[in-house]
Amino acid sequence: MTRTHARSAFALAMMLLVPVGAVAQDADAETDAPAESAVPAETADAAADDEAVAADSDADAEAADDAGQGEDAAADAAAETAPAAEADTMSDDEDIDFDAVTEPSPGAATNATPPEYKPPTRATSDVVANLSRANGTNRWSSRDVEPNRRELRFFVGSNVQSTNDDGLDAVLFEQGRFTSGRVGLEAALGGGLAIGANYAWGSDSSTIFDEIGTELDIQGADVFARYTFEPLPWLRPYLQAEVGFRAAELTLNADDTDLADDAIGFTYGGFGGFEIRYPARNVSIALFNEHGYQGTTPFSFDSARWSDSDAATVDLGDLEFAGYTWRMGVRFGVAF
Amino acid sequence: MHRTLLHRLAGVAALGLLLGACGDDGGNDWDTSLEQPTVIETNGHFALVNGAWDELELLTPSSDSVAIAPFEAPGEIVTIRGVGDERIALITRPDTAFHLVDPATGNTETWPLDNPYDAFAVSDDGRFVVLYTSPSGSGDPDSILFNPNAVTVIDRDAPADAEPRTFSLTGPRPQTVTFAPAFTLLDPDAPKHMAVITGQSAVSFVDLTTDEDIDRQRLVRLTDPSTGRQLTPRSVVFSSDDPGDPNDVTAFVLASGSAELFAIDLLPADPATGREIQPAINQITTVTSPNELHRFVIDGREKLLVTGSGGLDIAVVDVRTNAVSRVQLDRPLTSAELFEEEADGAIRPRAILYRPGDALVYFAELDAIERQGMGALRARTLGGAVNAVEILETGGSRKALARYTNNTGLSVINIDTRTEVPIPARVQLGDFVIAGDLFFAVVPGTSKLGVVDLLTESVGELDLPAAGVSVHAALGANALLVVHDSDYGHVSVLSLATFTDGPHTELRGLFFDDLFDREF
Repeated sequence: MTRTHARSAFALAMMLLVPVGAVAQDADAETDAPAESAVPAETADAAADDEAVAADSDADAEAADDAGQGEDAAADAAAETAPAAEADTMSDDEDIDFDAVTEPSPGAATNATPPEYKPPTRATSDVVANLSRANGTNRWSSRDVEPNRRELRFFVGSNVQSTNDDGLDAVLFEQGRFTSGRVGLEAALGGGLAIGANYAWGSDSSTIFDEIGTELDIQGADVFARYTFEPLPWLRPYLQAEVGFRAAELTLNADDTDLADDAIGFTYGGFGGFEIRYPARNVSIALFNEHGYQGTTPFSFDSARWSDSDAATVDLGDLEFAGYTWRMGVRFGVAF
Repeated sequence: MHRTLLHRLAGVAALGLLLGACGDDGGNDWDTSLEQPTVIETNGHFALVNGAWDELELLTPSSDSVAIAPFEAPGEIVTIRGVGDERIALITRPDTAFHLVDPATGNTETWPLDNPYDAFAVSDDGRFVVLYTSPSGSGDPDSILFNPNAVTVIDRDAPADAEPRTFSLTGPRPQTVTFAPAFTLLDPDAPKHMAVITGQSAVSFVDLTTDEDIDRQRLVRLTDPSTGRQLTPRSVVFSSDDPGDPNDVTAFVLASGSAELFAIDLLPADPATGREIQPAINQITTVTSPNELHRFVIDGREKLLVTGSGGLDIAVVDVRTNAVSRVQLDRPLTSAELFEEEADGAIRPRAILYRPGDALVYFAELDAIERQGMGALRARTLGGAVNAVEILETGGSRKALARYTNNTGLSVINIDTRTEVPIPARVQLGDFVIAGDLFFAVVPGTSKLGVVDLLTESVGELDLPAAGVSVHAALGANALLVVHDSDYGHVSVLSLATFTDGPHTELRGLFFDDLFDREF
């Protein structure tokens, strides 16, 4: 294989990894690979060239790759370019001496038979990825985007809900829209299925009748199930259904006195969305954006009490949250 | 790579913002300013008028609770007030209509109107309603022109399919509308029902039942228009009617700017004219600057007591003969409250004469005042300068209540004994109401309700949950209502039977009821 061929294979692999590489560059710091251990380009090309020939026959490297043991596989791949005596003395568990790899003996280099060129195959990207791991510049692989991978994820995001209840305009600073926050945990069970739960909270306030302040505080929890598709490794659309509850506290402040009431409602919703995911070997990060419908059974504020008197309770009526909802946020995952 | 990533993130954020901006950002319907409610008392109910939302909160007190029923006016409330003890009347627009609401049931009678009236008058028996445009009214704000002389007469005894009669008055635009007692002329079995509509320097007698245009209005000018003299009619008093005498109905009109009393005889018209009524006007010189006009009867003979505001005299007018007796006083007495008492086996007319701002009041024997002059008056000095006197019908005894100027107290006057109990207030009293034998007054700025038992002259006070601004009574419900200083409906309801130690019902935030379910 010529150096040109090796560069073409590497470029193809990098295109398939876009935009993973961008994050991978940043993630290098997490690999603890010393900067000075970076493999010179010429050496990496040579290694890739040799691996392209030897990959099918190197059972150890393949097994290690399948198991996600990138460093071990890289060590095996590097050993192919080393003198046979040295390769025999290295076990799979030993650390790689990159200095030794980058400085092959002149005898080995001159005795090596140039391998026969083979056009890039699907396995090429895996090989290049393995080499990337080996040289410490890219330790991530498109294989990590596998939806079957089980992950425990933490997420945080915002929830913007359009409302159709005119009464809500009395308590919303921005009419027709209620914004809240969400934080939760979910488990990706494999096969694209994930389940989870989240805590949601939101607060809004307004002024009505020129003199009366209103404040609505809502918090609650949902459980949900999600099914994720994978048309592209980094772009993952999904569908989600959820149910939950909300506890709402409404306060009207008139003449420096509070009129307050609590109410409970049950939520339900369905969403469709997508996430842009940047997976690492054991962790992942994803930006998500989802749209759908969320409804809440009406909050009935029918027994509002004044904070400073025993006056009869006031039936303020019902507030109902239901409507188009848009969410966005970020998910952090850890494989297990 | 970094630039690509940033571009993607920016794209996602922009999409989100775009979608998020799709919410309704329309005008805020909640910016309306609420108003202090006005209260209409009916026999067994209170109606709190929420002018901001054109709604009524109908409160029906019982012994231990208060029922609340909202009533949404069928339009913007232009004018509203109680009619008699049982009804609430209101005019709404933009589709101008007159409504009579029964607060007990919420049932409403509605009459669509062709003109944008803003005032109405209802006869004492509730049969007739006259709708008109008040002197300050300017008609429909969306119209360029309007007819201030248009009036509509509703006869509630008319057949259900009868339309209200609408017509235009000749002469000046209406100022006030009152009703004449039913009277007869030639036919004792055909009582005439007339409204008296005053205008600048004129009085109109409007037949409320006739369909004949020629008889609909008789305009009587109090001055010659060519002189430019302007008079403002202030009160109209009718003489009583003997069905057997077609010539005995007279309307006496007292007008500002005139030293004379106008006596308008309503006589049968000459049949040749095609009319039924022929007015005849006479001017009677009484006192300087007449101020009040009162009718009384001495041994079956009708008289008028005329007080003045500019001189030291009062006058008594014989209705039958228009003869005038003047009585010279040692000080001006501008106002009078009349009552009757039994003396020497007969019912005798009496009066309390006073001048606002003066602590001296006079008990006058009207049956003797023409003969005895000042000798028929007995002076009493009250505990404070009097602002107004009111005759009360308390249980078993007759009292008069004299309120001091600036609401600094009151005097309870025992009419039978001519004695007075002064009850000064340490602070200025506010709105008050007399409920049976009890006098209640709120005290601005304090959470107290002052109480005076008019029978025993004992005083007390009640604690309120907040300062009151007005107090109202619904005797049919035996309940008292105190309106507190709030724009969102804050009232206290007290039972008159147990107000001293019974629980008060505090209703706060009445206008917040079903707040979120309202449709603006």
